[in-house]
Amino acid sequence: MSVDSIQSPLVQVRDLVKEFELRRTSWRTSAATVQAVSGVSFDIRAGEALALVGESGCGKSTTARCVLRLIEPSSGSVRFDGVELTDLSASDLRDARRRFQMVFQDPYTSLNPRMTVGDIVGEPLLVHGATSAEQAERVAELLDQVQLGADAVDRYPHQFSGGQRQRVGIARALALSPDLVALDEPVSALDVSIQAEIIRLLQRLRDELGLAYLFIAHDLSVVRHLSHRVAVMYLGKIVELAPASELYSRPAHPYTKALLSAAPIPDPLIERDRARIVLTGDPPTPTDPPSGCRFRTRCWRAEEICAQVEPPLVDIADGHRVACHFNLWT
Amino acid sequence: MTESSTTALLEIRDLDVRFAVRGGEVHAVRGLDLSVHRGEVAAVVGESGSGKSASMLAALGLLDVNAVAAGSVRFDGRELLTAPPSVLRGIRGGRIGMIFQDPMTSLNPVLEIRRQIAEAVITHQHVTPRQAEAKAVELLEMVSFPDAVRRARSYPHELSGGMRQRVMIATALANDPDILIADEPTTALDVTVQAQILDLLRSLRLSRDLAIVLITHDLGVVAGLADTVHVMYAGRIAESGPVVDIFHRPQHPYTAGLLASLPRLDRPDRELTPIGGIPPRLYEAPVGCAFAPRCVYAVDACSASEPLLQPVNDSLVACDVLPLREPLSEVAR
Repeated sequence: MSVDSIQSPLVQVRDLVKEFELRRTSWRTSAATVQAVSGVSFDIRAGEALALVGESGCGKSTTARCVLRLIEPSSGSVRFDGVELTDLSASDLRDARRRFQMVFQDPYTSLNPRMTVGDIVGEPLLVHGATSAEQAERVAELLDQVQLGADAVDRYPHQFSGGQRQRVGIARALALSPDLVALDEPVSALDVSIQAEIIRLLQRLRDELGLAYLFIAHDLSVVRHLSHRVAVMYLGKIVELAPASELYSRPAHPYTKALLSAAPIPDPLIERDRARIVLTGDPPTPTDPPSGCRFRTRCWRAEEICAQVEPPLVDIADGHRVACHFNLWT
Repeated sequence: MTESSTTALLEIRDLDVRFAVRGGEVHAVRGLDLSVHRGEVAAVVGESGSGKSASMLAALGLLDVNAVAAGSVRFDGRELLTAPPSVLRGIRGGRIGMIFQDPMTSLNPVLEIRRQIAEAVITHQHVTPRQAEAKAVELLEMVSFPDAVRRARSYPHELSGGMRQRVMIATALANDPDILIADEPTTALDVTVQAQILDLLRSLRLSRDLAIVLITHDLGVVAGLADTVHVMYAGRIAESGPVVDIFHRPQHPYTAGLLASLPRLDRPDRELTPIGGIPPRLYEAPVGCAFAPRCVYAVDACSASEPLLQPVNDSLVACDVLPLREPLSEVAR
């Protein structure tokens, strides 16, 4: 890795916005738009695991897809190792994609059932011009890296369990030796006893290969085991971003506090006496977000100012950024 | 657990469920014993395919036509497995309420929610439609449905997942049931909404002395709600016991393995220990202990005969290697 890439972040996302057009309800009205991502900025350093967490509809997956340009962002900038991705041509983008790959949530639908595991894992190599001998050698190496036996090469996805299939998906993502892997809920479709294996595999690969992760998840305890830094999203915006240990031990945003307090801990003695912050209501729809602070309609601390002024994401300590009018940092 | 079995509200004995599938048969539940008492929250936990849902569907006579159930399921002394459909219809939605994982597919999309709840009332009580709808609004208020009078006229698609699950709970409680069967009631919900529904279930069981069978894979949810826990593996109970014993003094290697593999919010530095191997597919009955191929404590004898449930402290444990082992509570830490 060059000296530059250690100093400047690997990924630099600035003011990312993604709007979707909704179906028109009548020929008289113009199509409404929904802003799934509303001005998101963050960096990922080389070898760093950044998690985007939040509830369904908060825009975390859309953000990741925009960063990899699987979908086109509406505005904003995504720089990968200094190169602006948002205006790359299709062929330049294909070359650039060697360096960032994705692992999907569902290992049942994200693997082609008619391809052997060897072909699935080797396909990216073929696309990028490897010979079949190079391909075979690399596939064997990759299968070993994700702890699948060499005999997996000739087998089909349906012959594997969910956890093994997720290993195939990970091997495919690693084929081109990327610098960044986006992981979209990589363990949430798996059984508990299998989850731990995949979490450990991802930890090991991160450390051994110096991979950076953009990790999308809703399960805060899984996130804690895999991430260096965590960004909490609510209705298309980052409300808090901090080093993982800091975020978990000293959350500053009321939404982060509520999320942490709502996540169950598998210990009846702790759960019984736990003081919980139970939020009322549901997240509002992103088609019509509340004025000012978007969390205010569910926030127990909300005052008049919250409806009028949107709180900016500001630094409250080294690397700890929060978007809240109040100082709840204790 | 044994001495009170005569007074159990729901008593399942030696339940067997087989599904006919292409090319053979899946033996999903293999001799399940389980008792639930009045006012008790009993969690049935296990991974996908462990038989937890199949056993409850069998108990309620809701299995698909390709399935056969044998054994005994007694509800308040009455046998359900051999009961005629008319009797089952009277009990289901009456004294036994049910809620399922996905509230979107369990609700009728073209019916106002007050009508759906009223339907449950009318099916079981002699009331006029007007009375039933008034009762529906009352039930919605009971499950803390905001602005119940006005929003009782909503259709399911107008509601969020959490609100739909409240409608499901209101419907399940329409006829003042003694027991609520809840199959993954919060799995489809976001964590802040899950916290609301768990709070609601906790307050309902106290205010109405409601027994709950909580079917789930989420041990965090179990820890916050259950009194007793039944851990299922490959269609059988591996371990049953009081919730604190299960979490703090697990006796079965599978229970301990599950706990050791869980990432915990409060223990970030803990090494996760996966169980290893994969759960068995029940196309044929396993020889010996079904967990033995994945068990680090397994000895030759484990693959000879299937272990029976035996009392250990306040729990029942199906493991024959028990006396040979180091204390498992340390493993699960």
